[in-house]
Amino acid sequence: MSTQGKSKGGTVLNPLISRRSFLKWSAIAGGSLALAGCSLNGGADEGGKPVANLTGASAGKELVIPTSCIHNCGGRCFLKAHVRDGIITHLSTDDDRTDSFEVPQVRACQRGRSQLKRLYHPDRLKYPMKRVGERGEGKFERISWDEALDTIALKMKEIKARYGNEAFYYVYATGTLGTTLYNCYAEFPNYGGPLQRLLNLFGGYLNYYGNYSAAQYYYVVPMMFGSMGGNSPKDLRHARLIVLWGHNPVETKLAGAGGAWYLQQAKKAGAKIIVIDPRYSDTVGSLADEWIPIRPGTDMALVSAIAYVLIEEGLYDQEFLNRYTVGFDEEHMPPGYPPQECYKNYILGKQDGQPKTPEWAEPITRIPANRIRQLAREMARIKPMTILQGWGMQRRAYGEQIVRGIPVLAAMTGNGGKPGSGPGLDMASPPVPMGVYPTGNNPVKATISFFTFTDAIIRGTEMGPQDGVVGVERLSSNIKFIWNYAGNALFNQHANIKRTHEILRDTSKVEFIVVHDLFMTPSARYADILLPDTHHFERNDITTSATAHIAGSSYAIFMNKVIDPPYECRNMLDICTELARRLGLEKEFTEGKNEEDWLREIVNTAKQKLPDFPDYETFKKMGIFKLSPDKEGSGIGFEDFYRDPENHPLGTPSGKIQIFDPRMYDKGNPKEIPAVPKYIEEWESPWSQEAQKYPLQAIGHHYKHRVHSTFDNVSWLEEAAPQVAFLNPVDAGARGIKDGDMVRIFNDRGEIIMPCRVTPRIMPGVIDIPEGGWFTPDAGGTDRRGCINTITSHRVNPLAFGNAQNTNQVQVEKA
Amino acid sequence: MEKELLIEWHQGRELVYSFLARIYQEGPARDLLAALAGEDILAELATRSQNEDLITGCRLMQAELEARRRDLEAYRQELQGDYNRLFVGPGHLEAPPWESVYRSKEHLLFGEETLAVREFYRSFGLESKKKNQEPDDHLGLEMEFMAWLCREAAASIQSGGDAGHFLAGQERFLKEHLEQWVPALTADIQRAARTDFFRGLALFTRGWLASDTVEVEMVLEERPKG
Repeated sequence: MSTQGKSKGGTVLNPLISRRSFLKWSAIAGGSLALAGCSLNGGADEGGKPVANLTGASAGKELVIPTSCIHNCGGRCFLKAHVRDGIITHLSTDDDRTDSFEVPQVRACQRGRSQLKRLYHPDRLKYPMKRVGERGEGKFERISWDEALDTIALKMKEIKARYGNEAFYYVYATGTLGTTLYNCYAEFPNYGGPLQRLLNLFGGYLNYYGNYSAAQYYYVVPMMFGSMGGNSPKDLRHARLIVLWGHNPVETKLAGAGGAWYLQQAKKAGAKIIVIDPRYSDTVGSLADEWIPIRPGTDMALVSAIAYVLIEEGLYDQEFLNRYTVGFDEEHMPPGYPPQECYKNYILGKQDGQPKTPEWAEPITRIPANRIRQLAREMARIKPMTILQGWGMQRRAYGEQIVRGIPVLAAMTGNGGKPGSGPGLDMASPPVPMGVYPTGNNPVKATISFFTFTDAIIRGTEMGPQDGVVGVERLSSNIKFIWNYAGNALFNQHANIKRTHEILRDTSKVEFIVVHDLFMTPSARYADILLPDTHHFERNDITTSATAHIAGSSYAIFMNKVIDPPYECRNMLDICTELARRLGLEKEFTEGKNEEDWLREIVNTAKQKLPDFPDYETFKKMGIFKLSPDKEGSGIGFEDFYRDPENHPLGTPSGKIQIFDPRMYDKGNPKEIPAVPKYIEEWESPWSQEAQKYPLQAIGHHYKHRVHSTFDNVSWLEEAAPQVAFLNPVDAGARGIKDGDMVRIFNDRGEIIMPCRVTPRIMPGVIDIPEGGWFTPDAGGTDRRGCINTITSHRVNPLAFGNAQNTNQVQVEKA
Repeated sequence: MEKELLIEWHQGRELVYSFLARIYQEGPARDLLAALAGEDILAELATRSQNEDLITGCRLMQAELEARRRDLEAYRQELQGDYNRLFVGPGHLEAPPWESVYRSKEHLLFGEETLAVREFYRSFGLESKKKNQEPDDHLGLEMEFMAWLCREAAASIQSGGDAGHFLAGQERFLKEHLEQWVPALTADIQRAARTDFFRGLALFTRGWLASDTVEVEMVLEERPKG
């Protein structure tokens, strides 16, 4: 037979594959046998006519399915997925319901609207994997789900038998936060979470308290006020003066029903807005009447100097202080404690000989003394006033102090308990009635600070109350097994990358690490078993505005499963059910219920609490249910206490706001844990030894690119807010650095090379590396992305055992 | 043109497309490597082709296969590592093998192109078995679709038809889809691969599609009109 033929037109057709070699090619092509098991279906019909059931309406018709966003931004915003033939073509938001002050639209921000860039990202994890190289090296091999689950179950049993349940740790994570079912944040059992439930049934796990966002705030506010609280964002419109102290909602909480929108309404209503911040943030640019740049870490010097002016000029409200606080002056100290230790004496310098005058504060804060005086007078005279605290300034060496300091100014100026008159804390969202997936009780009582887990890996059995351990006198085991679900705090978001790497890579320390996530994050590199998670559009769940903590109106969202999970991605309920089966806990774990059964129960609970809550089917279909505004409460924090403090005391030792705290006094460490809020020079500062080599302060603000490290791999957001280090022209000029140059940022802990933006929007003496960039080391170990934890310190706060990740001295040079 | 020749041409092409479908979908399987290393089919193909990319690609693959013939298992693992880094993960994919990632403005999976490819399959009565679980426009699936079109064309001629429908489908699919993105993908593979096998496969793929497009056009041109 010819292998070559001539066409009529004379062209030569010379098949590249000769019939002689068909057999050989069949061996590698596998013929139709190899293909039988794979991908294309149907079609064997003659003539290639379309298969009848594929030509129906499903191809063209658009469905609109409600769901939401779900990260740790403080918002919970409504999203609508537009679906064609099982594929989401685009997203829209809460744009077709009434939009009023009382019931605003819950419109998503640029991050929420970028969800498709995460959902359909080509880099998503697709298959279960096991580690094949050294831990942390990033070498993995695909395995079956059965092998993955069998391995995990076996290791859980082994490690439990050898070390007990205290050896298990569910590391802090917030990638899927505050839902009733798939919540990954282990600290709050009222959020739900299948893994928490499984681990509790398995005998428990080492707990943690506190969080990377606001460890100091969450530790100190309950000591000072007896519980968390604050005025609702809705209440801001009643304020005449709003002081945003290190608070930047226009970049961090800019979604529809969040803080930024309510501040806009307050501004329209005539409030004066002053922002105190080392950065000229978007909040300054769009809302502020005045910007007061302050040297990072010196906010307490400003608080003290304002208090001094209020005292000096007789501008403080003695009656208010007497009624609501304890420890301001000698006449109002708790019994049994030395009266001279009162707050007023500290301010006037009666103990240390240093009156905290504006002139004293000026060189510390870099704010002119006369500006401090003006600010104090404005705060005293413009009523009502709300000071809102941000959290960046408490993620510092002595961050507990500023949390306690600002409420003192609120009280001195007679603010708190009335419309527009805030207690000096953050905003607080009104509650929403809702049920929760039951996580059960953790039989393990031992609890550590979230920030000390790396210590508990290397020296857990030495750790007790002196290290912030509660529940036990001493940990019975080092951490040997880590679950990391939907989080990047195992490595990337934890301080001192180099140290964390050394600890995690050693498989004799933590013996087994499971990571369940959407992407190969820097933390996921340390997995022994790596599991591909579902995106939240690929499972059903429920969330509420109350878990958002910055929403001004009350609503609940049914987060519909919009599409099927791709590849071999599986959700946590599914995984835990499989593990429960292997651990002999299936019956207890499932109680015979699936995802829908649990969610129905959760909605039923909501309906019992609030009869006009919609039923399950209606709620699922409508997606968002907004409570009628009259169900939201007054929005005034600690309202009963301020109205009638005698009959509604706070849950503090005195029943009042603790300006002086006897529990702190009793710690016997007045330099680091003063009983009244004081300015304490930081352990690493422009005045410390480090500043000789490392003269600049490095801070990491919360960038509009990301929610912490979530969204770092989203190109739209990189375009809108590129990962750059911000440096003032004064510091840049002195170093020959021009806008757009690559710079080397370093200290003894590590080194980053990244682009520099030279801008007066950051004050001199400071370099700002937006937190959350994914650590990307080059061959020499230098980070090339701008992960601030390359240069941060692991040292804990003295009282809260929290993170001081904004206290860093560095040097910067042209790379 | 001779009927037998056309059948042979279609069947041979089906085998090449099936090979490409398999390697891009499954990666370097043991038996596939053993067969490639044991036979001289790549070398033979190189001698029969005029396309520089195809010739170079075949030779690169063949040379490395021969050099590593004695430690084929270690070689397979190395290739699997390369395959994972390029196409599977975990982590950043150096050459994400989906059409919509290359062609859509957003560079995402499940884009407009995925729907267009789905529609193309549908117009021939086909549907991906993993529809909506895996994108329809994975290179391996597109190659499998071409193989299927070749097989159907051969069968059509065998039973007295003229295969025009399938041949036209091949031309359209090559032009509207494969040609639109595979050159960019193979450039990424060439840049990022750490083995000559995958660098060679990239050239092979690009060269094969280029020369096949020419042949398909030629055969279509020669078909009696009407």
